[in-house]
Amino acid sequence: MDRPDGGLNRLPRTVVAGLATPPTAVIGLFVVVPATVLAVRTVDLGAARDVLFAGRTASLAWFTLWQAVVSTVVSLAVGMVPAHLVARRRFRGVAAIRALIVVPFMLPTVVTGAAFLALLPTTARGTWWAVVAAHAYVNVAVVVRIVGAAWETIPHDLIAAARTLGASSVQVARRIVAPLLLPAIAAAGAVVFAFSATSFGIVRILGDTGTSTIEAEVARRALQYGDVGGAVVLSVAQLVVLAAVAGLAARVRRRHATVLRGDATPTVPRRRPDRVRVALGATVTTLVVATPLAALTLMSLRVDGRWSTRAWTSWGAGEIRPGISLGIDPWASVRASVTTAIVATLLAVGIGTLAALAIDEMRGRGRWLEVGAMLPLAVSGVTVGLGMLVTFAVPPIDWRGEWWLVPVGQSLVGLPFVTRLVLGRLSVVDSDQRNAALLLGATPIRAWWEVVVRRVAPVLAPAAALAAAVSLGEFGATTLLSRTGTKTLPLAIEGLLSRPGGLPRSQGLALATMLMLATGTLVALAERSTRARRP
Amino acid sequence: MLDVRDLTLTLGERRILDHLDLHVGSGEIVAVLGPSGVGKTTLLRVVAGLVAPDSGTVEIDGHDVTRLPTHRRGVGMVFQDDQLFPHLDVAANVAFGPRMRGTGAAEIGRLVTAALGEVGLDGFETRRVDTLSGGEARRVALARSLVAAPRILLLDEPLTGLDRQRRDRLASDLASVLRARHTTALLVTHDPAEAEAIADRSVTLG
Amino acid sequence: MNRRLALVAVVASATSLVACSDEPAGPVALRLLAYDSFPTEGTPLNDALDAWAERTGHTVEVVTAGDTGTMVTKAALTAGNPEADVIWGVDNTWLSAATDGGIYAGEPAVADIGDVCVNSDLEWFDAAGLTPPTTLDDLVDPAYRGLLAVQDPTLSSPGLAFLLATIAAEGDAWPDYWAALRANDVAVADSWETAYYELFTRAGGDRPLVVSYGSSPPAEVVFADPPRDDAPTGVLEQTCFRQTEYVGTLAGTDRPDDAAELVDFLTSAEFQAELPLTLFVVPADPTVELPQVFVDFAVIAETPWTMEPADIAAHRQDWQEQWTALMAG
Repeated sequence: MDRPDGGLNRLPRTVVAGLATPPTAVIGLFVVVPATVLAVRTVDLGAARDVLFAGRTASLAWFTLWQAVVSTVVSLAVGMVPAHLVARRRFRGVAAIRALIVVPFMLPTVVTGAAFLALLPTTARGTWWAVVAAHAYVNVAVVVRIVGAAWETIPHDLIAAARTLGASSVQVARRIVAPLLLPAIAAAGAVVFAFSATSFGIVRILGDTGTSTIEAEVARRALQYGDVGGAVVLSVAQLVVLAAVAGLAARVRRRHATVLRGDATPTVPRRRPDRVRVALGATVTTLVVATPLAALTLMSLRVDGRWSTRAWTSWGAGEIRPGISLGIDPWASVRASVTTAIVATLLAVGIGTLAALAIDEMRGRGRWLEVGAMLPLAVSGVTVGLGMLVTFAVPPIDWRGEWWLVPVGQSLVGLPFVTRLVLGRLSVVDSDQRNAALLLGATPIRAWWEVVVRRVAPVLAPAAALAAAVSLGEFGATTLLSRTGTKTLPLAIEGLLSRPGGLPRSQGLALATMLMLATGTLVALAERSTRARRP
Repeated sequence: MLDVRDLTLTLGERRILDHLDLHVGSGEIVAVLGPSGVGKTTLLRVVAGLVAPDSGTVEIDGHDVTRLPTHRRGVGMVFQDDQLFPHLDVAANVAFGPRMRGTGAAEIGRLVTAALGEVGLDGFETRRVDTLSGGEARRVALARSLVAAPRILLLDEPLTGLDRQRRDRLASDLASVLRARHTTALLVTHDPAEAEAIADRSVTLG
Repeated sequence: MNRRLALVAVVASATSLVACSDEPAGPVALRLLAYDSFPTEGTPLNDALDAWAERTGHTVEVVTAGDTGTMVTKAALTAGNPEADVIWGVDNTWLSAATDGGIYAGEPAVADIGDVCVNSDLEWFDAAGLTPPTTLDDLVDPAYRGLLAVQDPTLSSPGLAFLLATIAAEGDAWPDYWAALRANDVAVADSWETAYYELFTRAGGDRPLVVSYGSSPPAEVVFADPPRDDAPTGVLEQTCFRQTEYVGTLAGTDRPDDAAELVDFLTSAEFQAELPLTLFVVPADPTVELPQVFVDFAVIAETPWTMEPADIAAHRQDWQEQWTALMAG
């Protein structure tokens, strides 16, 4: 027994089971079972395995890999400057810069794609560098967060010691800082690589048939060619590759991890050159983050080369001939997005909170549930959707075409975020808090309720905001699972932006602007609430 | 009214408690002395039911509570780090015990005001926990435990962490409050002077 | 307390939104799945459906699924548990994919006939002083560089029909033909609507040649503003491919009998009479009299390109993949 009290004061087994069962059931049924089905199908589909070696697949795999590598290198290079700025310097507005940098990462990928479509010239569409630029834009946040966190721990004295031994700035960077940052760089690099390799929204909007990823090919094969077997094989192959990359990064991290002790508080820039550098860094960072989003908003106000608000005012379905529309009804999409988001958010927050409470209560034995709750992060949205599509296709669990598949898929994508947020909150609660309540006469259940659950309650609102943001922007699983006739905003945006130009294009940009504002606000609310830490 | 018999606890390689016997009479205040790490806090936790001994018994008022869960033992405790509930204000903290017993709102209000008055914190009802000084927090913790009317009160280093001036004041206040209520108390400390100031008698561990 | 009340209010209104938004009150409608250009409201076609609904008590909800390719694939993915009751518009080029996917309950019925042909903007060619091309081979002539718009054969049924026409015409050398088209700067659109209503010069685009239907010119007369009595577009008859569209009940629907009734209506003279001037196709029912504007301006090719259904069934996927590889590289 890992309990010092010998189990005297533990929560009744039924309560713990009640907490753990719903999340286990949901994750088991909607993530683990479909993943297994996909893996098993791959083994069975001998002929479909040929798809792995088809010419198009090979060239796509090659493109997927090398653009992911280039995206990673560019993201790391670009991200170093703001990472250093935010980690090592203190100045007015550093908190704002921190918050701003996270925005590109949390925005829906269709919005990022739309923003770059608006920003770059039309000839840029379909080029590899547009895709790489968009990837770097999104992932600077990852680099700043992960490498920045490590940079915050490098003591000043360490660098000073190197200086006294005669090292120049370059040598300090190469021989002291770089090796110490290596584990964080590997970790950040792995995340950026995984993101870029499974890029879906961005390549669907910015790329064309030549500049596409395996992820997009999985969706294309399933939904256009009707080649589900090929899609399954590709998605499993992709999972294997990603797992290998993650394993490699973990090895690098373990081998080079060191614990540093010493003061590393951010310094206030004193001398003129330093102050200029800091000001420049802050300005450039702000510009880089804000420019694509500003371009998106501006271009939504241009129709056919002229300033106009038509893209915003003509949201009744656009008619070409009486009764015939372009098949996209913006208001219907807004309604569809909001209703699915509400259901998905309730699910994600409910299941995620139960999971976090169960994990916290079960301690060591809760590890498997924690891994399960994080699984959707490892599996891409398209794979989650494909798994569900392929698995729930046989009576008695024939759920194809059911309206609730989409919110369930979206809630799975949001689950890791909610669980992590609530777990973070729970980790702040001292273990003696429950003991204090017990010693005041509270039964174990009441002690748990008063001390643990009531303290978690304030984090539910930001968790809901985050889950809602994820749901509104979700593209991969939604594309696979959507019923014909209902398009959520990301799908509608993609549909409108695939038109060559004119009013539909501007309408797409307008919808993307609206989606950007909605998700941006939700994410900002979530960040602010978790930052203003109430006990 | 507290009888500890033949208490033994081994953690890993170390024998923390070795066939320990201890008796505290009703209304007595007993101090357990000893250097840091000798097992004093562990002893308190065993009496409280937070840690299970390898062997031995704990009796309170003649009842064997060794297998009883904490909330049924009638034991109260003031923690070394207070363990006030940060999401509740001072009044709600102090009211916690009576609320668990189902006491009515009016009665609770009366009890809280009285208890805060006893520990010298009149008017502190609506204060937030994170605005209290070390000494104030300790007093709130004390009031909270006393209002729950425990059969025996455990105190873990009650004066540690306070400066000299506050320590002397708290020591005398603590002693007078406990005596006024005829509370049976067991406190642990590494400071003989602290034991001298508060307790009726001392026992040394280790 | 206030925060809790607010939360309860939000959740309550949210749930009611969800509950009310999904299903319409009253009897459940029959769902008719069709491609994007099938009108959802406002045309005589829809009026005919409404009249039938009043007579029989079965309301019809038209659900558009994008282009034919996506529609067929989604139907195949949900075969046995379909999203609708009746499906309109799978054509002979996509039929093998539909029947292989098991989407139909029984045999589908012929709904309409048309020819997929390259249309030309006669006024544009007049103004440019160029003679419009006449044959498939003309389309790769550098004289007509950058003037043609086609559709993606993996998505669109006219796109696939045009591809099959080129395969029928060029035989095994068809990849070379397409390489030449590519060199001649052909534009590829995702759907017929994008090509005809955005890329075509009649709609303000820059391509005076577009793959469309032999029956598209009448539309240019009917919807002309200001009105006119001659067709501004012509048809390259030697590029036409004969296309047949089908309608049928989806396998696994909860209401097979009602669905069969709807299919009967969709193939009846009353409904078919509205097809020429709304969908601009030739009705399958030979008793329906074609409107004059149709007779005057629509082209029904004498010797269109055709292909055996068995051929299409056997090679469609390979040809589509080959085409994709060719046009992407």
